[in-house]
Amino acid sequence: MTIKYNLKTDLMYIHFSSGVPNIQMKTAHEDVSKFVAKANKNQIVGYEIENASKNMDFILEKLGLSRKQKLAVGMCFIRENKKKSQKEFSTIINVSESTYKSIEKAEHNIGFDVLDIIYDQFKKEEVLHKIF
Amino acid sequence: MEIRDDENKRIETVDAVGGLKVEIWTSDFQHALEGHPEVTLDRIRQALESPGQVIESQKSNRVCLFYSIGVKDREFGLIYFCVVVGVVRAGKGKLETAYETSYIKNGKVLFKKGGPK
Repeated sequence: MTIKYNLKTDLMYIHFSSGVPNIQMKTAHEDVSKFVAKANKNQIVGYEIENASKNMDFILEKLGLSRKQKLAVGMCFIRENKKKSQKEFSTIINVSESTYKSIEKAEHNIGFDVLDIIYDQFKKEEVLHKIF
Repeated sequence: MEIRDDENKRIETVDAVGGLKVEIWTSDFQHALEGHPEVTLDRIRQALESPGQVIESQKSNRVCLFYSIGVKDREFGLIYFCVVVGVVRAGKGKLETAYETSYIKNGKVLFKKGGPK
């Protein structure tokens, strides 16, 4: 999974897989479009979300994300809002840079100790409270 | 290929239609490529330099969408190649991403090939 969020444009991109030729299509939500596989319209490869900050509830509740994927979205969103790099955030939560990157890719099975640090460091971040 | 934060480099600057200089950075190009294997630098250049339409996004702040001329597809109807550009300041933009799309978004038409604004 890859996530890209730009604070200035408030655009968020979520991709569940790479290397799959895809095409953007509308959804019922006017701020959200989906990327579907060219070979199979029913396979959703990713999403583009406009006004992402206002649509965070929708992202976390309606896109069918797993807990790990929601955490990846939340961490990327918080980090970009704080204008920090992944390296800087890895230091803040006391993990290696590669581990942090894998958290934002939803590839890392996060331990309770790291979760505690995340909660402690970002306890005022509403988005985290929506995830757990 | 993973690009570290300190390895992010400008690949090139494209003179887009309308006088906007659009910078393409490795991290943004890599992201576009990972999500959309149909993306190439040539297609990005072509859409920026010779688009079918340019739309100012209604939804996102300071975003311009450069659409290629539509190509007919049996499954999806018309397909456009879209380059998403964030306007950094007057006359300067930055590639956000690029992808193929089945529709053109609503917004102010900044440019339309062969037609008035």
